[in-house]
Amino acid sequence: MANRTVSTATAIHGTNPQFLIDKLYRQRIYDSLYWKEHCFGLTVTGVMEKAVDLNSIGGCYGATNRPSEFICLLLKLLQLQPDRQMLDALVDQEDFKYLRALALLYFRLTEKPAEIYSKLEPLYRDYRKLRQRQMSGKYKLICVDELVDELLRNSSICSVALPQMTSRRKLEDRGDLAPRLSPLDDDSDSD
Amino acid sequence: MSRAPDKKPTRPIATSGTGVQRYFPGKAPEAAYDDLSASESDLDEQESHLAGIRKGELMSAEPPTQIKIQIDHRRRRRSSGSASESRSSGSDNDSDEETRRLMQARMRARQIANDESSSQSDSDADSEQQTSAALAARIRPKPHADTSSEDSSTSASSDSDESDSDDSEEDEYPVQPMLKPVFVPKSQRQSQPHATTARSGHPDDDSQEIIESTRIRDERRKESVRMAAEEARRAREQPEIDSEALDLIDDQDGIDPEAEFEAWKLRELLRIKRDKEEAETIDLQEEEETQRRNMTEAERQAEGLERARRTREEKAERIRELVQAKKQEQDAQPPHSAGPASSVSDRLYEYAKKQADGRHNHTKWKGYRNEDTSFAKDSLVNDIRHARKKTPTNPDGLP
Repeated sequence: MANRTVSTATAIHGTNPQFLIDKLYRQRIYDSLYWKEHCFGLTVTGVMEKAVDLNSIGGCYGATNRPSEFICLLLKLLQLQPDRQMLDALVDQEDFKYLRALALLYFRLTEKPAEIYSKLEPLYRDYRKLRQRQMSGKYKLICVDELVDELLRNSSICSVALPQMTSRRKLEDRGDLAPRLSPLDDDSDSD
Repeated sequence: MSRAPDKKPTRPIATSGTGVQRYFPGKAPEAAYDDLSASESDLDEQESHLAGIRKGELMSAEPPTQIKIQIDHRRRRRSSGSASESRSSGSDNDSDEETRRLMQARMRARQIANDESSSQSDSDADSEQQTSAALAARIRPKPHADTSSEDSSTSASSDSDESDSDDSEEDEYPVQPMLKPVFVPKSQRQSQPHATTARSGHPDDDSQEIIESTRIRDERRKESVRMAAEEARRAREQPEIDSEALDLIDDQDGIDPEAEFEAWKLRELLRIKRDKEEAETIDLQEEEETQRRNMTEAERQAEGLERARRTREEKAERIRELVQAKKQEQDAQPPHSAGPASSVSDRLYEYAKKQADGRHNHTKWKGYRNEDTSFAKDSLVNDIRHARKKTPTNPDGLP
């Protein structure tokens, strides 16, 4: 009952949104203390409050695949499926960087490619530092713009396999997107 | 005359008027609150021989008379208060009261210790004693007005004796710094006999024994209070290390805004460059494809042959480069002479090295061919062979 997706949820990429996280890691999250203690009966507002207290991003780490709080909250969001308006607000807010990172990852998992590019690319300007907990358990510093870059190009991050996305080039050719304008490009006189 | 053995004279045992708890099955015995001293059995020996040896230094050694005075005061007070209620056994309620006061004293001691350590950075024994008095005055609750007055009177006298203690004037259980335990061999120990076990039948000794046992008990209690304070102080001064918090690297932004901006700028430029290069390769490929689609069949054939020749040549070129590199490497090495090593000592060294390296794989024994030093440059056998060799100048080969 605590692990069921909300009944009003729509399928994401053809399946239950919770299945976006691998069965192995999903099970580790369900078994974890943080999930049972803190994520039980949480609403989106509750997730926001918990995310404000996050101090690192990361997936399941260590020899026992211990889930980080970040990925527990991600699974909770997937379970709750917040609406688009709420999600936009979470991504756009600039006060809490870890909440932003959480919302970014959720966005990347659930939305369509064109929207992902248009939403995430402005965040290339944000160069705040984030702590990332790697698989070994050690921490590493990563900036928000690096995170966005990984979300747009890599195939997995934080123990989550990212759904395939059509390349930007194809979208440009199709006309759905304009070519990317970097903030530095605006300043430079070349091209 | 019976053949039964003579009965041993029995000790007189009091059967009435004693406060011994009897066990009735089905009824829980009244909890023995006064058994604090018994539970601290592991402290007993240390305490007792400490008490025995370091009487003068250890605590504000209140002479037994003062303890007796305190006990009497307490008993008197209690008896006056209990006139209204009927109590089953006076000793139990005394012990309840005692326990409560002991607990309170311990808590007080801990509080004092915590306040001391929080109020100052370095634990200076002298300053502790000075501040402890002031703190104790503030912290100490005052349950009975007469207690404070009597305590101050009794301990005021002891305070003058004892300059070493950080005992405050009003505190009957002083907080002492811990002394280093010293090993005493069994022959020299003056351990006090346990108050509950030593029972001599003579009624004359009873009062003395009671005094002794109460004295021991009080000493143990003081020890427990002291240890409570010590523990609190230690916990405060050496807090548990949180290993999780140590690992966390600093993710604070704005430490060096310019450096961060520059780093971001660099990353952004690299990203732009990467995107541009990818776009170029894709454009090139697309261009080629469109060209190929536009060509006629003959052109495609020619183009295919051309491509094949080009790739073959490139491959050959690469192989040639590799071979050259290998040759140069071989030339750089010294020429291969008599064997893997030319002299006996070299051979032996290599054998020793192989042995020292140990065996990992290829452990099949293939003989000592490599260790054969007969043909080494400076081996005796080789020398003899060379000496016996038939040369034009020495046709017989004799030395």
